[in-house]
Amino acid sequence: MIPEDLLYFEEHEWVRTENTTATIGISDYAQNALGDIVYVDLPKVGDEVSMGDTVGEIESVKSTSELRTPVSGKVLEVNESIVDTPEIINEDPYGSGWLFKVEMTDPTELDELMNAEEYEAYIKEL
Amino acid sequence: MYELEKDLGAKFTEFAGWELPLYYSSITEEHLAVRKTAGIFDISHLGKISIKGKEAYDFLQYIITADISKTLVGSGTYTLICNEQGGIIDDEIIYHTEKDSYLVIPNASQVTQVLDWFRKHAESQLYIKDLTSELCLIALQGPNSGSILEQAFDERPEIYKRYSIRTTEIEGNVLTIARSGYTGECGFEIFCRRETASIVWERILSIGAKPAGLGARDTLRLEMGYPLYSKDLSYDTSPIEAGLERFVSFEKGNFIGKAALYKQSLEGPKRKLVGLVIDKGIARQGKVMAIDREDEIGVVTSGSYSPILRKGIGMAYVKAMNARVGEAIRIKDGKKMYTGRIARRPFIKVSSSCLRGGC
Repeated sequence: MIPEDLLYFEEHEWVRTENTTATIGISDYAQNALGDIVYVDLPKVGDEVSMGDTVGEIESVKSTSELRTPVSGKVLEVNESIVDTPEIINEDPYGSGWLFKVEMTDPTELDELMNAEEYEAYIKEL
Repeated sequence: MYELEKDLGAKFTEFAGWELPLYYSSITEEHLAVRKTAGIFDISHLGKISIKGKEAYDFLQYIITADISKTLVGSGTYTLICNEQGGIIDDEIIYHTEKDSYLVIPNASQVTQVLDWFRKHAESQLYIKDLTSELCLIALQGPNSGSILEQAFDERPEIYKRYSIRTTEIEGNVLTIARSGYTGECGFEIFCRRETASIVWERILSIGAKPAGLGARDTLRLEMGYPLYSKDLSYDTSPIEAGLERFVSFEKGNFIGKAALYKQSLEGPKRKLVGLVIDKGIARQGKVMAIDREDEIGVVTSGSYSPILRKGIGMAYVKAMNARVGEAIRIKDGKKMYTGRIARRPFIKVSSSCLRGGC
């Protein structure tokens, strides 16, 4: 399950762009590898973040992993509804399980991300 | 069994040299199924050591901490095996299967150590046989286990008391069924030969138990506050420190570790195993605990998540003076700081009766 209209970061975050706003979440591959997600630590609205920065944490029953931002900019919004019901990320990683939105300062960074086909090849290698 | 489990979508993990299902669909779903209905686990990796002979009783009384004088044929008991210093070699259930015949169930990681320890201390005429790879072990756990047992094997659940064990048959194959488990729920563990295991597995599945993996087994035991060998119990910890003194009988005569454990019991342990509830997040094994930033009081030995409480829970050894329920604690993890409290074990209340939920 790798939507065609998204871009993907090597740490398994996805990006959906609308003008200069990037919506970010984790891929189906990532949620599946983590298993039951029980806690999410999100960045704060207004945080200035740079591509690749650790901006939060995702904890599943078995492990903890860092949440990285695939683009640079200012955090516009975070998905508060997943804080209390993080299992939504497992159920709908590309939809209601989105994590945060960034006002991008450098949209050329998007060129460094993978498209669906490249990401599919990338996870096959892992 | 591996093939059956693979077909059910199991994700495997390596544990003590075995390829075991970690989970099938989701650890929390499997956990909740065991709490609300029933789950089925393949726990064939657990050790199975047969001990037979006229000397078996005296040998076991000397080598284990519990008193088995009241463990009659058809029953069992939980016990520890300690070294002379009172350090824990293993914890296990011992069943009295027939006259002069016992079945010991060590942890998978300790089978070799327990066998070596037994052989070192046994008289040559005592029969000690490792049946671990010959016998499969399937656990049926949850409030519906009793009715499933009855439907699957025509066995009346109410005749089983805790740790009762008896032998029956299915399609001409011998099954040994014990009322036991590691989840706090009503449950049964079914021993059978490898070739019978798939029949047992399929029968239980078809009646309606959810296949569950080691992941749920761990969160279920932790929610009950049951210690796990190699995490919460080890050569460096004693039954007194672990809060397991009720499984150490100082009245039964001499046994290995008695002097050391008696001394510790009189003086009081320097540290104690306690339960932890974490305010936010999961403080995992190995993290150091403090009351405030400077004062280290202990180390987390088990840390995971309670699907019932929807909170991070764990166990830790802390200095005896700090082992008070309700005490606020902090746990350092690099730059991160978890906060929480020392909590009573078990973390949740369950009815282990096999008579509810249609059992």
